[in-house]
Amino acid sequence: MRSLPQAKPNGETTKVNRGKSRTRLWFLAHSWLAMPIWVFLFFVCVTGTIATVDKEIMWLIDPTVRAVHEDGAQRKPINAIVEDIRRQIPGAAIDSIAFGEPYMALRVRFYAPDIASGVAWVNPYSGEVQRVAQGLNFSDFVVALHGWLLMPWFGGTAIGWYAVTALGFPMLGSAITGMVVYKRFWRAYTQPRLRLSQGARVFWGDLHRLAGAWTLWFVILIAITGLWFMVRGIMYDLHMPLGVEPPDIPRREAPLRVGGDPLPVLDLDGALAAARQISPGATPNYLALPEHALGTITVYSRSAFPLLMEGVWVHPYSGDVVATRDASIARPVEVISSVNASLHYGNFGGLWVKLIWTFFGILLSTMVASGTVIWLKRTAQAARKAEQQNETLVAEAAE
Amino acid sequence: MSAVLSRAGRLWRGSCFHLSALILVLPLVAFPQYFKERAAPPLGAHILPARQVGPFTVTLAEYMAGPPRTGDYGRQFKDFTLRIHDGYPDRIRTAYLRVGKPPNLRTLGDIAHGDPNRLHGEVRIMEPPRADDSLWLTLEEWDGTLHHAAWPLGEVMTNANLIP
Repeated sequence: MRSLPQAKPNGETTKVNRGKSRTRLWFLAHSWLAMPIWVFLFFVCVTGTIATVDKEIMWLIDPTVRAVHEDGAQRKPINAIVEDIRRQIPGAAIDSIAFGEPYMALRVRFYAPDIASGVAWVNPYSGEVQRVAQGLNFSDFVVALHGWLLMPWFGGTAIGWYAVTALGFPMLGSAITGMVVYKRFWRAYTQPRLRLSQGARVFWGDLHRLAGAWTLWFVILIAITGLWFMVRGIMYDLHMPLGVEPPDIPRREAPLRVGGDPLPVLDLDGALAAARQISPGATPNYLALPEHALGTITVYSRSAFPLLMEGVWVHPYSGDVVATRDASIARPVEVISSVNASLHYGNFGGLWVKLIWTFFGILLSTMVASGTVIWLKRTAQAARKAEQQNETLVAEAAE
Repeated sequence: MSAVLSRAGRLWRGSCFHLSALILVLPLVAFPQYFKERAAPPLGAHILPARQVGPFTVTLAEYMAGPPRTGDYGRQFKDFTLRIHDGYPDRIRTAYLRVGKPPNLRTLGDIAHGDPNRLHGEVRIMEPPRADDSLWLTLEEWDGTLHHAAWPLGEVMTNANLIP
């Protein structure tokens, strides 16, 4: 227990006391940044943590989204998969195919006469449509809950988007004030301390400081990337373009066709091959079919430098590459957004990176919870005591 | 009286830091609306009677009533939905929508795209729309044959404060 700074009768304070009162201010700031919003912050941290492995949770609970196959089986070509889907869902017009992680079934968005926006989960080895779904799935739901509290988007950025992204400020503030009030916090890296047997207050205090030191990089990363999402929300509200429109081909390059001739068939494997040729180190993860007869095939890939994404647009009839978009030609805002999203989601390096993000997400949620517990146990009790003794509340400085 | 007040004060002090939980009411309130929006929607808020365009029957719908919306770079757009009852994309290659009669083959308009059963047309509105302007639809068959139809803007843009 530290002695509390005492004001001298004439109102002056000693040098030591001034240092202490500054510490107290930092400590109060640290408490007040997150305390009044702790439920909301905790909710966003927990849903964000779940969102880091949203697809993996689906994989666990729903066998129809898995890419189950025999050992040594080969993935089918996409052209054959498209044939399979059309055979299994009559009248389906395919909008896009997302590849996801290797263990996930292909997520195929499609339209059908009675389905406005359907999703088919297709086994990439057998071409079997394992499930047809409509509306939100678990992943969409968690992302919407985390990202904008399910609030509607009516012509502008949802209010929930701003509410969530604004949490970047108190998070960043908590990280900075935490570094100040937790003196020599780097000792937690070399001499971690978590006392289990000295009561709840000591345990929660140790846990908060230990997790705080180890998650520092993650808190700052999530806060800053979160704030960039706010910038994007503002840009959207200001009608600033956030990406590029897929290019169209000239009208004269569409094939002429007379009644009875078969419709032109798109070579999606050819488009993927063209994209791979443009950028051999990149990994295609999304393929969009042309939105109309003069539209191009879109291939999005994760770049060789995995925080970046790149796009290739392929002529639907000739198979030539019509346009490309990568970090060397994209506007800075696109490049930043690409890196930003990868860092925020932790989806740039397969399952292990995702699990690291999940782990630190759990720690981050623990920070909010333990901070609240400490505040309730220590500061609130101190306040009650101070009130009872009819004295000024003086918060105890952090160790 | 003062006892009640002090109890209220204690209650407030005890719970005021948990009040941010109230923000979680927002997703609960938004919840049903969210799913309603995602369910198979009608063509639009204002569906016009089906009409014949060349050999094809089409239904046009104003997606949402009201003035044009602002898109990228502050450009003005009006959204329409188009159902071509039979023939897309088997016989019709492209459907174009445009305010004003297309002056030539290179400016037929914005290409209706997406779901073949309910094509989406984002029509660029270049100047304040007038009630006596028209929305022109051009259907182009795969052999290049064109079919046109036009609707007065007053019919396809409701509550849009059109210039009379």
